Amino acid sequence: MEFLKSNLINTTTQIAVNSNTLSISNIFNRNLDYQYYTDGYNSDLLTASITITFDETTAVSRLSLLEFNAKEFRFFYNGLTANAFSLSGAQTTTSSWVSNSETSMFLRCQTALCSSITFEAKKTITANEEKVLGLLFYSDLYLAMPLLPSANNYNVAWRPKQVVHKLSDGGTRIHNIAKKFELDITIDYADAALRNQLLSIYQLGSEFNFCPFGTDTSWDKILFESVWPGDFDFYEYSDNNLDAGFSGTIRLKETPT
Amino acid sequence: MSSPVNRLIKSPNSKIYRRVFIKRRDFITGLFESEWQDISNDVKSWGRITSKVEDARLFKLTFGNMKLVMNNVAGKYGPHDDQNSLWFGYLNQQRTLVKYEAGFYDVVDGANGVKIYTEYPDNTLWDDAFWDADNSLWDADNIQTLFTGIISGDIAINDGNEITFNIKPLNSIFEDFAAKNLTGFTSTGITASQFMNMLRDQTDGAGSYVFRPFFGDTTTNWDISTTTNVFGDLNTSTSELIFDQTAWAVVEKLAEAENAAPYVTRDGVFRFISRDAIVTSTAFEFYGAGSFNSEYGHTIKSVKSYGFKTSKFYSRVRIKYRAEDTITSYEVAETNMAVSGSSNPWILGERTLDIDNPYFATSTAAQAAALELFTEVSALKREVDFETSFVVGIDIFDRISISYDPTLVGVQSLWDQNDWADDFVDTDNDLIWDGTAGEQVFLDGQEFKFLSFEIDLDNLQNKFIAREV
Repeated sequence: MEFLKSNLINTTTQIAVNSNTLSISNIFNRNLDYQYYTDGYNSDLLTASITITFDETTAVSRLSLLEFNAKEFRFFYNGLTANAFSLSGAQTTTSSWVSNSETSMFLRCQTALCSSITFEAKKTITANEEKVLGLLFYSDLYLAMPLLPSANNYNVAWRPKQVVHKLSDGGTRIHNIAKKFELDITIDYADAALRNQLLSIYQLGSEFNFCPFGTDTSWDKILFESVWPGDFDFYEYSDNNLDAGFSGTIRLKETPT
Repeated sequence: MSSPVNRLIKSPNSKIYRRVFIKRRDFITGLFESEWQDISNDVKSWGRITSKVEDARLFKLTFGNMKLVMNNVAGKYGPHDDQNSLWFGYLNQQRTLVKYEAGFYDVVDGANGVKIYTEYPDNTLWDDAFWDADNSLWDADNIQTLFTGIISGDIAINDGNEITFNIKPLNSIFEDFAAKNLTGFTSTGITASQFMNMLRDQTDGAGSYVFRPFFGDTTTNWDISTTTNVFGDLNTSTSELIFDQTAWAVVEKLAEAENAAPYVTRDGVFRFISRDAIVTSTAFEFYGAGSFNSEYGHTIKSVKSYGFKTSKFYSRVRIKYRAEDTITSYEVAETNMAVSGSSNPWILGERTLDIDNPYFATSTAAQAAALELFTEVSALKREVDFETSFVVGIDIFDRISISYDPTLVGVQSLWDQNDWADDFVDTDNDLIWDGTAGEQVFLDGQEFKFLSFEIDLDNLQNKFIAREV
């Protein structure tokens, strides 16, 4: 359960691809209906690459891919293929795959100082298809929650913005505009250090990303840019006990795309 | 099989996109930037696009003002002297160009795992073949654009972190320009189309165009039909016809005199073109309760009112086309009153529609205009005011049909000829109370043309007022 910095990919001028530059803004468009896809790379013998270059050396410790179709692919940084990321908590320890079957994954790695990151995809899960990618996300950590909420206290919903029409025969028609995550997490027994860390997040004054249960297999794909509206109430003592820690609720709402 | 956009209009569960863009003006040159800036993510309320044709004066089209409410938490929409403002380094917000786009979108899995994202209507799929061949007057090339206008009016900041922009239609730039300040008149007078060209080519005296920047800074966005009647009094900027008028008021008077339509299209093209004759086939069909259609689906939410519009009936149209008030200054088209069951002046009373327009070049032109209007207003016609789910792409004067029968009474009433008629042969004299023809609204494919529409972009619904064809 992690609070993350903004996606380091946020402008097309930092992106270099070897095909279909027209759709490169879709690489960081959080609406997954918009994909980046290669053009003319529908062969498992051809390697497509996406290189993100940063204005300055930047710390990176989280990598994520959503709705992609690569079977054989890798990440490396600073232009050197030898510079693989050292992954933790994943199926592999280096950022290179030869037989992947996941279509979305969230990866944690040792912090690397990067001037650029390259994603290369060669083979696709279904052989010889164009390489497609819904979202590429590079970031660093604000806070990894040392406490997890109970299942009852973890409330997440994917709320649609929609207009529901009642038509003249009583039937219903829905016009969907978008769906956004909303999440309430109630934490008990937070110590003062955690309370202060959460307060820092609350007081950021800018958006941040949240990923509750990121993993490289069977991921629920919940990773969203959010803000924390309303109260910060981690000043209440848990169990009416001054020594038990603090209780409060993290309330997050996804930002516009 | 339904056209792609019809499939989405009738779909019970469809996806909608809405976008709004601005173009600011450079602080030094005063000219608009070249690219549209997308501000959609900060919209709190989109507003309503309205358009209507004035009662009985069909040349006069009115586009309503819109209210666009923006989230201003980051100060992006504050005054131009605030460095957080999007207008910082540009001219202030007034007369900033605004463009709205909205429609349906669809995402399907294509070959090679690539999702195909398509917006409807689009230029290739929402084209003449579907909608506009019937009524080329209202064709728009970029049909995704629903409205183009400018920010105009007071802009106040409040502590609710939101800012409301008043958006006016593009023709308001002519309303904000005194006709007496126009240059380019000739001593022998000019034609209506020459006047429109004069607007297009109007400069500030230093070679900079006055109106053209609002229309893409190109002559391409000026669609002006050539007219031949010379208006002798349009010969100087101090002419009586001009000196106390706005440029748009002159445009409207000339349009009336030439039986033309002046308007700015949804995507910002100025048009002064002859009005098309009423078309013979429908652009869209609306269906509601008690009806069914697999092509257009069920879109009517409710019919607010339906009935004869006696307030729009006139038995006489009288145009005063000369400044002096003499008998020869008028052209009249009228119905002679007769005491009979078929004479509207007898049934409804005589009513006169008076129009004062000294721009008519000749009595013949005034007579033609009077007859044209008389044809429209002398028949007692029904109007219907109804509300639908989101329908895009149709416009003023489009011919449509409506099928709507909300009653649960079956077609075959018990009060039929079996009970009342002398025999089983249906004749006009039989007293047959058909359940579908009682006092409730009953529309069975009746054809109308739109007089007004409102597209509510917040609630994604349309309101229409249409008049019987």
